[in-house]
Amino acid sequence: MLRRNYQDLTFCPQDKEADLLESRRRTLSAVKAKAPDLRIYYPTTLSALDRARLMEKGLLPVSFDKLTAAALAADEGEKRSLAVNTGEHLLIKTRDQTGRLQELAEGVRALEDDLILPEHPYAYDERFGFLSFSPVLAGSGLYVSLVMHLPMLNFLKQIRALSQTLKQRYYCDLKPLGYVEGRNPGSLYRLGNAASFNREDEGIVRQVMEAAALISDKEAVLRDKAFHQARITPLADRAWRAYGVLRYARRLTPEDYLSLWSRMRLGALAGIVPLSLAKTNQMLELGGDSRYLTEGADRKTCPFRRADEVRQALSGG
Amino acid sequence: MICEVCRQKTANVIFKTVTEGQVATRAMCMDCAQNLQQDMHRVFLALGLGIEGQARPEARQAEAAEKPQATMPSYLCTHCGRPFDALDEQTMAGCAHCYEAMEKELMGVLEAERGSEEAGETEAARTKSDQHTELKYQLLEAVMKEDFEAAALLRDRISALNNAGAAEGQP
Repeated sequence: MLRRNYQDLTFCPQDKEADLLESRRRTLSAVKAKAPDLRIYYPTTLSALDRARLMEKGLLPVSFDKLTAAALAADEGEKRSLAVNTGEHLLIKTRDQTGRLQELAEGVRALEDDLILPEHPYAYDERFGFLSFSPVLAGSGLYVSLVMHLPMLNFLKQIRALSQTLKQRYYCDLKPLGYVEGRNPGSLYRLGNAASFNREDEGIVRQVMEAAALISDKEAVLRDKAFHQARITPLADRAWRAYGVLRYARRLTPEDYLSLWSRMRLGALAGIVPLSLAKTNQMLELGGDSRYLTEGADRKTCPFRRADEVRQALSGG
Repeated sequence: MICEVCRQKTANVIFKTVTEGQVATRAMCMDCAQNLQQDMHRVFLALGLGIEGQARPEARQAEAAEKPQATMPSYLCTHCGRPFDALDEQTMAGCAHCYEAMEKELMGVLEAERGSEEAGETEAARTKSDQHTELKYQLLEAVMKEDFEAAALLRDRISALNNAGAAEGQP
């Protein structure tokens, strides 16, 4: 993700209405001219289905409906997107599931190059770099992140201590993803660089990858100790129970599903549950409601449709 | 119309500011308007001006002396009028010119973070941090294996390490 603001306009969220509308006009005119494959969404005309899908993918803030001068431009599949006036004037994003952060960083730079308006430069200062509405975020404006599944570190309450180490050594932060009523049932976390001041893209990517390697190693060590070295393996039982419930359940709320998916995936990683990692990663997509809403379900029937698809994926009864 | 500051409540107050002859208008809700008014009131008192904007040096300076807590904000952007007292993750800039208002402190904050990242921990601190983390994992392993005697020894070693770190003033 790249953060950008226009030099001559006031920043979000203190913007004047006129500046907000001008920011949106400029950006969307560039999008229509240079990236016509991007579909544009406005808060006032956004359908419930699109809202659910885009929020599940983390492309829209929760307050998007109230940001009357905001907009979102995204391609099919939402791998490239551009959020307008949702904090910064522009948030340019690229995403995929390959984990190739350097390629994603180059992709977001390429999208920025396509959308640059020479007559309307971005807010930039020789000393601080590209300016943000949050001064501590000034710099190159690049934010690189990975989603990580950390059930062992979460279970053993090691996330906080690990976060301090990541901050000191790699200047990265580790935030919980997908909180449901204050809980993190899926043990999913987003690892990303905390700032971009005076840092090159390659350095940012390298440090995030090193931090990810450190976290993965620690998670693997704990998993190995829990599943293969301990005399009692309650976690193995939890993994099998989760697998069993998912194979035969008739109703699964998002929170239920994430919790069970997390335990089942842990078992798959430990080599206990007979599922491939690719399969469990793919099954994460079954957690959101938007895919079922697209198929004609409503909110009340989504848990039942989810259970149906999970049973089908696991070939349960 | 929504408040331009909080973007949540309805705007029912119009603020007009004049900066170098240019008039800027902002629409705000009552709460945000009161917050801004308090900020501007502090500026006026520090400058010896009345709330109405009329200069009453003797009376206002006396009042300012009686109320030492009414201080000028640390920074004030002359372009958008935004005052700043602190510089942290919650601080929000109103425009590109706000960076000029807080240039020195912001450079200090950003370079301090960059410096701590570049220099990293000292070798001794890193070794101690690694040792601490390793002991914690060994403790977890011992607990999972139900080797509580070993776990107790590890717990004591971790406590000793924490006490030694506290004595040296480390976090």
